[in-house]
Amino acid sequence: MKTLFIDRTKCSGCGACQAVCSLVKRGEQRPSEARIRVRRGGGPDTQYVTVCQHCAEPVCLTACMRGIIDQDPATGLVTRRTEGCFTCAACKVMCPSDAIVYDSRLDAFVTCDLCGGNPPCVAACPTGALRFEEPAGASEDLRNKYAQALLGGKEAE
Amino acid sequence: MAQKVDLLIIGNGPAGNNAALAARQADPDMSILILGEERHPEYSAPALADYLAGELDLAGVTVNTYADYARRGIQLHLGDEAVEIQPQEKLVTTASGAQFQYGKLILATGSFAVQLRRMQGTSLPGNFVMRTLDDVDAIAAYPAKQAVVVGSGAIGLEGALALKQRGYDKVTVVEALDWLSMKSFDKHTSDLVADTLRSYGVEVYSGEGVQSVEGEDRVRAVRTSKRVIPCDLVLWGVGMRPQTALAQKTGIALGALGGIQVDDRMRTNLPDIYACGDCVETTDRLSGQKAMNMFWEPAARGGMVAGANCAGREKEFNGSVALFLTYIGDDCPVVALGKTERDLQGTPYQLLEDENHGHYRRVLLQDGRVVGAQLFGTLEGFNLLLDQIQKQEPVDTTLLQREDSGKYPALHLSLAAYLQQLQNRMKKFSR
Amino acid sequence: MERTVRYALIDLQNRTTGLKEVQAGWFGTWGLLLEELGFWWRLDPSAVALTTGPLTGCGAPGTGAMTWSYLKNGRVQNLTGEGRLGAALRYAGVDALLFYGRSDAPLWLEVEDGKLSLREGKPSYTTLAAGKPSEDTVVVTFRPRGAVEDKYFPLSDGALSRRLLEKGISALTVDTAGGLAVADSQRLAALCVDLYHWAAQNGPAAGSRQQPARFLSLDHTVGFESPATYLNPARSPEEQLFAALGILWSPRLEGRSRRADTAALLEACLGIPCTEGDLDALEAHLAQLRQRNLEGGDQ
Repeated sequence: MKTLFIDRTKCSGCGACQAVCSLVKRGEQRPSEARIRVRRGGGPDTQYVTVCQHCAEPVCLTACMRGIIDQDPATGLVTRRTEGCFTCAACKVMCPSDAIVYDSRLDAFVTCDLCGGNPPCVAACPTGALRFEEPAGASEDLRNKYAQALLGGKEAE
Repeated sequence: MAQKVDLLIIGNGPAGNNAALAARQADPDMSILILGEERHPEYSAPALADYLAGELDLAGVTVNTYADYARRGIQLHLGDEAVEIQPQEKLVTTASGAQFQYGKLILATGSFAVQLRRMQGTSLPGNFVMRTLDDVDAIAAYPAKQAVVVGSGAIGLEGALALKQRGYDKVTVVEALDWLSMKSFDKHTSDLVADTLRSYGVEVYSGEGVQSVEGEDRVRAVRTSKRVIPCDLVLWGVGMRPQTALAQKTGIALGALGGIQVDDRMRTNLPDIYACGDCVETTDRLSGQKAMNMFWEPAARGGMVAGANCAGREKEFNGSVALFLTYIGDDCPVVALGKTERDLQGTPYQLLEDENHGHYRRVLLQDGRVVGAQLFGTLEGFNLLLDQIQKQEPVDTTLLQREDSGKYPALHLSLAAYLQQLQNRMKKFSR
Repeated sequence: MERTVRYALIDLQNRTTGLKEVQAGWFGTWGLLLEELGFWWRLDPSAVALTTGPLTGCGAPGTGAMTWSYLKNGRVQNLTGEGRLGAALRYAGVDALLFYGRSDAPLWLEVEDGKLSLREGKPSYTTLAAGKPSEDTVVVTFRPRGAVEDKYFPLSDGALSRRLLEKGISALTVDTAGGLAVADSQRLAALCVDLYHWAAQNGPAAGSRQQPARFLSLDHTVGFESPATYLNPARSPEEQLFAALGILWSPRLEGRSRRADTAALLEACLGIPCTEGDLDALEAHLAQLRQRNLEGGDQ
């Protein structure tokens, strides 16, 4: 299954992806509740983006104290039945990609669900840093356990 | 006549249900049956405090409905306790006399709440624990206006607030150890928690243990080492123990801590019998030792491993961690993992802490590795710390200043920024 | 084309802050010539304003636009910048800031959770960054060389910055937890994707890891080798028209009709019909204001 990958050498931190996500998923421009977010580490050249990596063995799924996180056995897509979320935040504190945000309209914790296979954030990325593709072999390993300390496994230098 | 079932699961909590789910996903055809002592479909025990407070109703704490089970082809036999396992015959018998012939068996019998039976007054009406839905229904039905909550784990803290929300005139938390949640929090974190409880009108006493419960026909008061507290109800939150009576009787090996012994495939010493959840001993990822980490996440994950393996997979369970996570009221999360400063006494360590905008953060490092963290009032950054505490790799807080910082994993940079910010705050505002 | 504009009056003399509303015409374009807010200059000729346009922060490329204004020898000086500050203020429910009066002791302004607080002191960037309530808080410091956002992004020249320092304001921080309601978020999203995608197809990408981009910007990046200097990106009347509306059109969107796109964005954000004719009328109106301003006429 295709997932979102960020090539950090190209990411300028402009925030286009976050802005578009907010409009599409949140219905207003509220960047702090977008499911893809620019993170500014604070030092020069440390900007990057966090977004759900649809880990092969998602910790959030087992951490969820209401059992509302599902994973499609065929594709690996991780989704949630957000109407059942009682905001225990277990998923948020355990996510290795720091990809989970609170959506104040749904009153639930949410993540990227890849927008039905046509994510507008990718179309919006002006530098081409954000890509939507099948994970390559090396990245597959990353997704295998808790998949994501290395967000954006492709460090093309 | 015994009902034949490929996979029989004893226990309807997160371990049992995730086992069923994983088995079904691995094998669409095998017959799976969950045998549960309680009559309810799976519900979220961590949400019981919200249920007690009236914030969630029964539907709101239910995890799987009958429809969910039906859709997955998972059979249920509820409200009936398994009383005997005959491993040679692969037969399980219940209290009502029902019998099941299993291909594989998973024990997910969970835990029970400790009740101090030998203490005076603990059998009087008005003594409660909060482990099951029925416990909460009983508390809700019991006429009381003043409560004493014993213990300061999640049950104690959340239970106290829930009773206050139900309109109790007076709720008092009594903790025997020096301060609240001493195994997870250092004193400052604990003081913040206590202050927050007090702001909700809950009285808090620590460093005093309960000696007896007073009353003739019902609970009237609690006597501690320092005072007598009048009350109509006592809620005991003094610990959980694994439910292993059935396992022990069957000849299934228990470990030194009293939990069922399993390997990393969740197999017990008996063939075709697996176990998972609160009733088993797991390896704590931080200490490398066996532990009873009785939390939702290791139970759910252990269940998935057991279930998948019963369906022919070869999954491994990679250990558990004791993550303390709760909310004091709606706005105040508290989370802790790893060693406290108390745990590190006598060894060299570094403490980073900061109080800012109502948030308190405390990070403990040893040899440049993050070994413990406590957050109060915020959860931001905790997953960085959790990740690092589990990995036990040295952190370089100057990572951001390096020329080649871009080569490092993004979350390492975030962690470096986070720790650097704490260090900067401490320099400016050192006490 | 009327709108309600919320501005924060920062009274540095009395050390108070307050939110006020004003009815503004012309899509609420109160930037540049401060038509609706200009009366404050009669009360304090050294007042400094930071204004945003109705498109600021909406998400389209170039909508990090904001404008500083002050009076110099009776004439309005405008400095447009691109960054997170203006957008963050709008997410906090503040469309403009007006600094009025003077404080002897240095103060800094904190905007958090929609609340404004004046605090004593002249903290350095490092101190402010260390004390940020959340990782995304915008930190702007006013130095003699100019106003700087998040340590590296210049927002103004020294003249503006020194005026603020002289008035006693040394820095400001704004959290970004808020949001901006828009009339038609799906249409706005589609427009944004269209614009960003067009730019991506239309020439080499600006910005990379070593050259972080300004917020929502397609062109303006910052390198770290030497301190960047401020350049006003809105000098021509047409650029100023768009800046007043809260957008700086990138040359990488060459080949599109800026006016048509601006009208579409305004409609999607505000939910009122907007035509290119409306933009023409606005441009003429701004020209009139500029004329009056040059002749020192009555504001």
